[in-house]
Amino acid sequence: MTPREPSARSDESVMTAVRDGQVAQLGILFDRYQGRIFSFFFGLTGDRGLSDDLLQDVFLRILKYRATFTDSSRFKTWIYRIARNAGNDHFGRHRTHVYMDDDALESLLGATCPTDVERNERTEHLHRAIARLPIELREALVLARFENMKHAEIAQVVGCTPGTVKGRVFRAIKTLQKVYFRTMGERTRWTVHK
Amino acid sequence: MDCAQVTEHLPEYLSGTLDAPARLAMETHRESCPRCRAEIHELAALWSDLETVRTEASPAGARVRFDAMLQAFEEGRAANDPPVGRRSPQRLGQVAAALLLTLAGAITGYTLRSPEPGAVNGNLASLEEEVRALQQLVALSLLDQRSASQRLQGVGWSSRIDQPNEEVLSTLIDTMNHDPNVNVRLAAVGVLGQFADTAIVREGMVRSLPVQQSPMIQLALIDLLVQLHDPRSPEIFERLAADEMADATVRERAAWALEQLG
Repeated sequence: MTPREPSARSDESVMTAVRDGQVAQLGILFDRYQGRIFSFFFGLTGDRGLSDDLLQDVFLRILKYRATFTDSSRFKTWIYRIARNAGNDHFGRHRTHVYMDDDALESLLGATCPTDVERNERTEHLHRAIARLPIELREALVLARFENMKHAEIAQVVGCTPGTVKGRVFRAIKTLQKVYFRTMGERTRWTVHK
Repeated sequence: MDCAQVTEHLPEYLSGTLDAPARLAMETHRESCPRCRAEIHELAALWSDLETVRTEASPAGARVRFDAMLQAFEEGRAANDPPVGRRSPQRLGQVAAALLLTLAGAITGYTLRSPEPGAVNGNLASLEEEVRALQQLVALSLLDQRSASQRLQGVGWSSRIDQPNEEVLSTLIDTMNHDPNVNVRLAAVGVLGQFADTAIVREGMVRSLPVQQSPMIQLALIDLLVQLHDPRSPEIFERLAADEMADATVRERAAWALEQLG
């Protein structure tokens, strides 16, 4: 039976046990990380079905490559690196998902539960703005904002310097600022003068 | 702190990771600079609004799918893994290699000293069988190591075995399909090519090609399958040649392979 109970053990300790043969313990890590990894893929693709498939792919890869987890590895960095590779492999084969298409965007918008019209409109604008970011900026933004990762952690995941990550986050937020506030402003003016 | 430094520190400021002295300096500048104040205000609002975009709700069936995958993996492992005790501790390969050398020396000495080779044939056969068993043990041990170079050595050991048993061949097929290092996978393809006359290897290659992602492995497998003239190959080549997602070189090679078999 796969363990499901909360555990005080560190991620690294659990993964070491998985690596050494107790593969059923991977369930503990699945429970801890499924939301975050799903959120990572959903932020990148806007596609719930694809994000679920990629989530499962990440944990299958963990099983396959468990021997590569070393005693000095940090699990959080390791799993995001695997997730990124899984995403890249997918994007490499299906280039249409590097940028969200309209269906993916609609799926993303439909997934939110707005409490009022204004919030829904803001969220929609944000989704559209994020969807149009280049993938490397979107990836840095998703990891920094949604996954609350520090620039140094993101750098380890994506294989660049913290300075590069910082630059990407800054460019992402500045691009969003232009698109977001411009479109919101235009919408407001259009509504007023209609 | 001036306007340029405020801009430089904005990402850390927004994410709340800016250290206290820099944060204080930034806020002091903000009070005296309307332009920076407006910029910080707008970006902070945007950063906050991004929270509405985030979702952590993975599909309800995600855990069920995971459990099914884990169960299938464990069942597959139980079916394919060697009995407990055969898998290596780190030194097993070294110990087995040392034993192997000892046995090889014993065989050589036995042969040189014996005046009547026919009289010792039975003993020699027994020793040779032990050597083969040890070669297989060394190969399996090395193939199970964490270091890619050791796994590569394991592939090399496998190539030296006259008639590897099914366990070694299955492990090589697993290495070809799942090893994280492409060089190890490629070496495994090469060694499996030596044993392509066995059914398990042919089956492994035929099943492997459609699921391989690395163009290098795909190309090596295509070439081997062409040599084997396996009746299942043309259909696989046809699909690969028509797969728009496949690497262009692989598609061309698959088309070439079809011509070869046609």
